Amino acid sequence: MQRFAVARVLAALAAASLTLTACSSTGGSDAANGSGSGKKRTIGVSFDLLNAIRQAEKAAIQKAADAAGYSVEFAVADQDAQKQASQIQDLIQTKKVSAVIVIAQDGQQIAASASLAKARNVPFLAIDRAVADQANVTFQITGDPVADGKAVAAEFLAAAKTAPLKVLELVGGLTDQNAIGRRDGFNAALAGQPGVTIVSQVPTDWNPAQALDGTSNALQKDPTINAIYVPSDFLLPSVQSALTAAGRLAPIGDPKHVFLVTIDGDQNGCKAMQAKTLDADIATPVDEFGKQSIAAVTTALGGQPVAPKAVQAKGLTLNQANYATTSSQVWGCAS
Amino acid sequence: MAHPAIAVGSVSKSFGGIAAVDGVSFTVSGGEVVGLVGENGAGKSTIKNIIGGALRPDAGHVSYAGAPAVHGVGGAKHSGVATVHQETSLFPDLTVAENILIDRLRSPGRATVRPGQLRRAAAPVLQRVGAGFGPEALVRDLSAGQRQLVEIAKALAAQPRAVVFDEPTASLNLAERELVMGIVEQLRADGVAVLYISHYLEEIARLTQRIVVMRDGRVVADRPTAELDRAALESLMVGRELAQGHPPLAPPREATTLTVRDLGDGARVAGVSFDIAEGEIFGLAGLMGSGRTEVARAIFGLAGGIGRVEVGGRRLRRGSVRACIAAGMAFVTEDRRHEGLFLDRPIRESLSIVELDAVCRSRRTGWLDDGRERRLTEELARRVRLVARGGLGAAGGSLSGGNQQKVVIGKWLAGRPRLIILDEPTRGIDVGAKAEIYRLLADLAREGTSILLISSEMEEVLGLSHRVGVMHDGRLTGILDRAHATQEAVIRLATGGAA
Amino acid sequence: MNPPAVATRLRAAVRREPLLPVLLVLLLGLSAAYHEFAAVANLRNIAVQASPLVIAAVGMAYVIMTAGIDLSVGSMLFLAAAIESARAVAGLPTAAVFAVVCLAGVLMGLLNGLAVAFTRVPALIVTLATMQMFRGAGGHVTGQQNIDLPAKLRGIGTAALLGVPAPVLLAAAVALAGAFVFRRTTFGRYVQAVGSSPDAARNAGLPVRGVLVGAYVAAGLLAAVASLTQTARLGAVQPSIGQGYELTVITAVVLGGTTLLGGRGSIGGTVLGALVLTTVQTGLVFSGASPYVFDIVRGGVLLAAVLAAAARWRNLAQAARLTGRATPA
Repeated sequence: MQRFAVARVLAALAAASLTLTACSSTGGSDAANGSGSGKKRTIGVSFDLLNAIRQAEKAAIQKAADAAGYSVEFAVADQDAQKQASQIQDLIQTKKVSAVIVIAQDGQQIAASASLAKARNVPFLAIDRAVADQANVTFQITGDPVADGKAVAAEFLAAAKTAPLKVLELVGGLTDQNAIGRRDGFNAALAGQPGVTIVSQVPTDWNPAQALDGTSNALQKDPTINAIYVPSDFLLPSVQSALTAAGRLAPIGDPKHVFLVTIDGDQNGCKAMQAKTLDADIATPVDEFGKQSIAAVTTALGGQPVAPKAVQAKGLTLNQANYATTSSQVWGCAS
Repeated sequence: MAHPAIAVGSVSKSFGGIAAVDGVSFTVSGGEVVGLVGENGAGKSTIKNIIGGALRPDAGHVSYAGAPAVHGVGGAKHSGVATVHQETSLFPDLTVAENILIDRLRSPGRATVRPGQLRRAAAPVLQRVGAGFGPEALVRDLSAGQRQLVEIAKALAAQPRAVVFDEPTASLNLAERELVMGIVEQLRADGVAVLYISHYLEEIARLTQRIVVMRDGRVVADRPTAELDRAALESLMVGRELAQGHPPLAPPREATTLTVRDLGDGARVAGVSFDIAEGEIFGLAGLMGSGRTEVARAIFGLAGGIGRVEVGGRRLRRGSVRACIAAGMAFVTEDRRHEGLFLDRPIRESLSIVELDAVCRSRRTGWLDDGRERRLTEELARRVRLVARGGLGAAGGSLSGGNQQKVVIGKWLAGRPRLIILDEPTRGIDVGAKAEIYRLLADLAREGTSILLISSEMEEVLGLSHRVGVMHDGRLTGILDRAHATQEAVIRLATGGAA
Repeated sequence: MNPPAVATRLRAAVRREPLLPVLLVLLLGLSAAYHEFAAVANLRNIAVQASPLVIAAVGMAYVIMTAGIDLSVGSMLFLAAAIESARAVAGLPTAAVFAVVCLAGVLMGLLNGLAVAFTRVPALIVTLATMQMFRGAGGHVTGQQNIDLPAKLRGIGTAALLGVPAPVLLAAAVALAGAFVFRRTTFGRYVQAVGSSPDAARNAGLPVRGVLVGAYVAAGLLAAVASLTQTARLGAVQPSIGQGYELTVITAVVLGGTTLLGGRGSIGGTVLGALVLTTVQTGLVFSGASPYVFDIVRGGVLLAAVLAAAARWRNLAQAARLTGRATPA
């Protein structure tokens, strides 16, 4: 009896995982972009998933690789660390790529793939998401959340010159290094500065519903709030919904306007910039990711050591003043 | 003069302002068996738990051999007082030896449990209680009776000076009962003090030298056994005179209600065939484990699917409880607390659950009509003479065992069943409530309902049934008319002898 | 009504729903502490924010009442939202979109219900598996993108009738219907019976499997309805919608006095549980507490509720066990 129950549980789990893999396999590896011609060296690229920013990162890598004369073999792991490991293995062992560029689904588990690359003498590069164990990583380039938070603070301080700001600060996940960095950079840059007061800090757990409710509540509590720090573009629709409900969504220049700055630079942000409801957006430097990683590949394949081994690239500030000149470099505005 | 092994002095205990026991005093000395009787709720369990250290009295004192009791279960054990519980407190996935020695798994000075040592220590105790199984058996695999023996062995393993037995024979068959009574007599001969709590007055009469009768939390009598006959004992327990004996039976009618042919459950029971007429009470006797319950469950579609079952000449689809209910069957389960009623739901809901469609505004919608439900359940409660102090809105678990059983029977009466199957309908029930259930069954039979009665109480089966079928080892070994159904004849068939 | 009768009725109501005074004290205390809290707009805010939680929790209450659990509720919410935002669906007339989303909820609930009723796999495991399946499927439908909802689909979250916001009306309707079905229909009674004692229910000839399937279907349907109001308010569907939502929903139900062992509980308590949780959350924002305090308070509220409930049942049960007598009625 007891044994049957266990068997049933196992069977159910097996069935469930089968379904999962079946669902995800359809979105599997994109076809190779590069031609397989003998002379061109191929770089294997493994992404954790493929959303808007990943599309931009993919394009940036492709662009830099084309310029440097590499072809690219591309794979997506659909947020499955296991799948990513086998895809990287396939890139290295079967496809015989010269280097791999990885956005890790899991910063811990990726260590096994890195040591496999090391054993085969294939340069291993990590972009966007940090890898825990740096021992076998040739080069890593990520965003710089603290610098981005500081860049947001700079926008606030500039705006505070005309009128003092009372700020609602939304915080991402309290266990997410990225969220903590964006918060700490912002707070540190504002410490002791006149003109900007943080009146409320609300946690969102990166959850849009919590961002919506928290913004509504904070605006209710303190109607004099006239600025909001949104730590990621993807919370922007929630904040805008809350502002709409409170009758506070107004374009720049309108006295009701709430000063808004966010980070990432996706389509939402770009649209809001165009609509003049968003004051500034600190865009992820996707092009830098592509350029610097491909440059590091060239260095490593040339037998040279890559230095520095880890780079944190600052975001690109897009505000209403520089919109005309800068928007073309922001990934979210490209599409 | 030595102190009594257990002395209870003016002990009182109340729960939520309601007194469970009130000024209770009595003693039990070495070499003496004292019976403790009383209806459910009289305070026996509270006293048992106070003596065993699980409850601390609000007032009064308990002493063991003259020394005041230290509170806590461990304290009582340390003082040489062991308790044999009714609801077994065993771990089904441990072995018999581990269960018996659960509080002494390690020998002094050792860091590890040694299975061999446990086995050797447990074997003599098991022998002493006459267990037919070894110390390595898993408790899960034992029958209810065998588990009770393990429970006793566990108590005896500590070499106690006093033992409290709480309904030790409630789930045992005849042979096992004899075994337990033998153990009690042996303990007395060895000079151990025994407090024996039981509903079975024959056992009390046979084993004890003195009887303490409790009612409503007080001791109403503390006299030598010889001075109390059964009738006197019962009226002391209930507080009034009881009508004696079984109610008169009306003769059954001509028409056949239930026909069972070659019934089996695919495992223990096979080839069972019998008929029950309209208005007939058919008793099913047999030892524990002979397959009586399996027959009942197979007829009701809860188990197995071999053979043919007809109600009123219509053959039933097998294995479907709903089909059986639709054909007019009702089943009063052996395990009423778990399978019969909803302990944490209002009594009303347990009573109406079978015929819930009948109290809807319209059957199609399933929209309940509270008024109609109230009328139905109140009528049912009246018919079974339910005594619910908190009203029908109180939780089912708040009822005494007898009244719970009345609810389980009552819920079926709403559908006017043609056949009621009752499995151990009076187990663990007060004498007063028992008599009421007997009368209820006789009345139902008089109105034409057929009844299949399963019981371990020989007297009950013989006294209530028109005919008695006897099971042995999964087969029906004989059917006896009321005139021929004597205790001896039943036992002969039940143990495999010829009729 | 004369004052004593009011007092008696009030006391009866409090005994039935001990959360009622808790909610009142919370509201009064926060109003006293923060001037803006008592504003009508704020109370309306709380009601709107509680609405999806109320709707999903009513469904969860049915499941928990059968002694089951549904961990997949957050993922069902997400998959329902994903289907709503899918290009093929969002283009349909509004009523058709809602119908499709509700149908999706029913089907998800049906999968859970059938798996729980017809295998002996515990609901915890079944819904843990479907939780992953539904979230994966939702991610597949949306491609992990943020998708804006067309304006016509946002009305259910932002419109109002006679000053009462649409989500609140919907939540009230769900709560009333849920309470009615629960208390006044055979299905509701069967749900409680199955949770109280599955064996007794089987012996009474109840359609135990059908009841289980029904409870999970209700949970799936209501998760989909909750999703409609939630996404309409957000204005967009995002991959992290509903993540961790199962804990919030289960907390609301348990806070409302429904035991995880099944058979005991109420819809009214569930609604109050959702309101208390939302009020606490709002109160935290008003208090300006550190973000870390939020989690501590939320966990503390649940722990206190569970301990209080456990103590109540334990006292009654222990008294009954040790005296061999009835709990005093």
